[in-house]
Amino acid sequence: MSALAIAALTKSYTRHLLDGKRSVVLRNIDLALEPGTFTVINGPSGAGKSSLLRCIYRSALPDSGRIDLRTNGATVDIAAADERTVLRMRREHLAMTTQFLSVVPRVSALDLVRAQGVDRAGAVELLASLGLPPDLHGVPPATFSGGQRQMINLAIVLARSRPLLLLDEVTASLDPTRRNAVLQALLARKHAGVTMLGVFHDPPKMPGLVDRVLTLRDGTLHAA
Amino acid sequence: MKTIPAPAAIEPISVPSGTPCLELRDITVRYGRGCDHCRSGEMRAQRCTHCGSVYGCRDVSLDVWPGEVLGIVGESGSGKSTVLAVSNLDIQPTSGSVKLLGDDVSSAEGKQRRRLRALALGIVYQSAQANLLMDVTAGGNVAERMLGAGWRRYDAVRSRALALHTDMELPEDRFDVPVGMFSGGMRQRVQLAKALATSPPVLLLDEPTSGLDVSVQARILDLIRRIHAEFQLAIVVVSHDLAVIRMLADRLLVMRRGLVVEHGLTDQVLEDPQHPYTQLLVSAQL
Amino acid sequence: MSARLGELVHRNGGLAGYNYAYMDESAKREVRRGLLKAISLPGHQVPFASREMPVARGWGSGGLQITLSVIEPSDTVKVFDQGSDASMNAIALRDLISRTCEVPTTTDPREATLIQTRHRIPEDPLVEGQVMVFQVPIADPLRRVAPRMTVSRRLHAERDYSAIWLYLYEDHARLGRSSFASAHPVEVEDRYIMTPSPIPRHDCPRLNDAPFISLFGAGREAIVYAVPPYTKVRPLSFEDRPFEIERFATGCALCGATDTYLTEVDGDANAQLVCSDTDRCARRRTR
Repeated sequence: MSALAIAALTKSYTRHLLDGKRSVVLRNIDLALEPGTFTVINGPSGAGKSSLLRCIYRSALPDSGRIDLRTNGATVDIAAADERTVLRMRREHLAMTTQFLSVVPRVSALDLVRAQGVDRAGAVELLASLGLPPDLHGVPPATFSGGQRQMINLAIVLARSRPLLLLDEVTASLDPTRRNAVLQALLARKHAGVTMLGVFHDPPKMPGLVDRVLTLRDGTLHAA
Repeated sequence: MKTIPAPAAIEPISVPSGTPCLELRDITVRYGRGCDHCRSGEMRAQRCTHCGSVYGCRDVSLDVWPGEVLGIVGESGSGKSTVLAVSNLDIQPTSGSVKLLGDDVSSAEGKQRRRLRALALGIVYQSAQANLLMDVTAGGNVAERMLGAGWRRYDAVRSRALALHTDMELPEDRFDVPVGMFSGGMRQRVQLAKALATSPPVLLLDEPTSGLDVSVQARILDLIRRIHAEFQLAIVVVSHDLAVIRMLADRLLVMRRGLVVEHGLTDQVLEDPQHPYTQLLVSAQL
Repeated sequence: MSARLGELVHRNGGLAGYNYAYMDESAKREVRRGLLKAISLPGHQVPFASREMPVARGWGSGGLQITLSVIEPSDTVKVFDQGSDASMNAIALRDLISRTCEVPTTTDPREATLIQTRHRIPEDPLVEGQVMVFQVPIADPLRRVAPRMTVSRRLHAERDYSAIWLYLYEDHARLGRSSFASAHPVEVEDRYIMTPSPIPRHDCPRLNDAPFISLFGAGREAIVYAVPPYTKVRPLSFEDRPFEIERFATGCALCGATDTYLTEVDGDANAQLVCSDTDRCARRRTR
């Protein structure tokens, strides 16, 4: 049974400030993720890759279709679930990184990670494994570089230990060394049975990590 | 001689499980008698063109569960504060029901309302003058709620007030100083201490950081977040500031002209707003 | 009273033409109705139609109206003022009462059936059947904390006394004690908070479970209230901050009593503490 099964997902945006201009970004998407697999989505900019992740996370509202998330006992249709159910899914089954760091201001990197429910040692180890220098652990990330912020973002999501991770361009602005560290961390999660769906501009070339690459073009998914 | 029975001692409030702490259903607050035209529901303007009745809010429903933060945004006059006043039992709705901890309290008044306010609800206003006695000490303002709830041991009242005072990061040497001599940020902290004095399950925040300068605002928000994490309260926060809402609220209602025009998860409403007004609000602020 | 008016009264045979006890029977009945209600609801403030009296409002007109409404020819009356039977106010009121009611007067509280007082309770123990009438300047104990009467009435009705408790809290926080030197608020029968009128704290505990009837009248505010015999009257205090009465370093400089309320009087050379209850003090000295 799939960890996530998407059926006939359609998503459009209506810009009321632009005379109600409607643009369809996802058309009738079908997608199934098997437990413990790593699926990569690529495609041209503006193709709707991020919208797909956001529909699954329900930070965007689908027009139609089903997004069935398998939980311990039951299946929850994220597309139709009420707000409190979605919040519970986020607490228990689902985590997503974003391209932009949006964290609580004035809280140190270490405390941000610890707030996800890991102990101090675990948080230090996690930040170190992603390559964040120890002298930055106690600093709020507001002043961090783009790459460093991305690491914090990922560290927070990884610390949450959810069975399904949605990754949005997590290696985009990292140098090769750091990129490698991040991919190693993801590989370790995959070995632990975590299911992952990631948007990458260039599919990562780490052996054993990626199971499948799909391309999103004109609102539909194609095998790469 | 026949004695007058003393009112029963005030019992502490218990939070039933499986029910929202606060639940409003189809709340309408109307000022004026209303007429067929505006009561029918077709008329959606805030002021009826036929009879002149004004609607503070119309058909507003919301629920807040333990540990949850519900945000309400909207411009001035949109009905945010009316909804909060109904929640705080300050005004009785013209129609609709208010449930607090599972009990219908829509028509609570007098002693029952006082008991609920003392034990079930805490509130923080934008203006501390609305809530605090300026010539009374910080400790006294916090103590008042406990005294109102029937506490009669001075040391117990004082030590709890002091514990809350310091927990709200107020300097201990200001505990016996009248709040009239406090800065705006400190007054908000006293309001928070007062709101929490009887450990109510519901906390209402009405523009808690508006009017404070930015750095003070940030520290009050940090404090509210910490309170939320520690006490697992059900919180309703009303603000016109989307940054405040984004930082505090799990779920969000968008109000305009007395109506809820959109509701949803906070990130969804702010990142993928559906209603034209919400899109305008978001584009104007972000 | 102007000299001309006094002359007129004198020429017409003094008080001839006035009803017994000065007030009309219908007026007395109205006051008594208020008092019956007040006794039924101990500590509850009952409005009444306060009348113009031959004393100015604020000079005991409320107490006087009660006294004149309940008095009978068989009564023996004592009127005293801050413990003294010889003050101007006490003399004038006693004179008025005795002349209009044809009752004997006394300074000994043990002989009196009706005692009108300003701000004291006699030191001698009182017994069943005696009636105390208190003159009250401010009837509402919440006046300091809820200046508006409409608000105060609601607070009493809902037994919402957090404001007065807060006042007491602030006293302890700032002074380490209650700041009420007199008129210390009391809780009556676990229900109403009442002011015992500006009696010293020394007298407050003596209202508790007292065998006598206490009637309180505020003429200017047109309020009466009452404490029936054997009623629980507790001075307002925190459970862990017990109510305390005044303490004096010495006994009475005149009679030597150590269990009475003392006031300071100016001696020729230096101030002395003497009994406020002058009648009792005098009796002790002659004994």
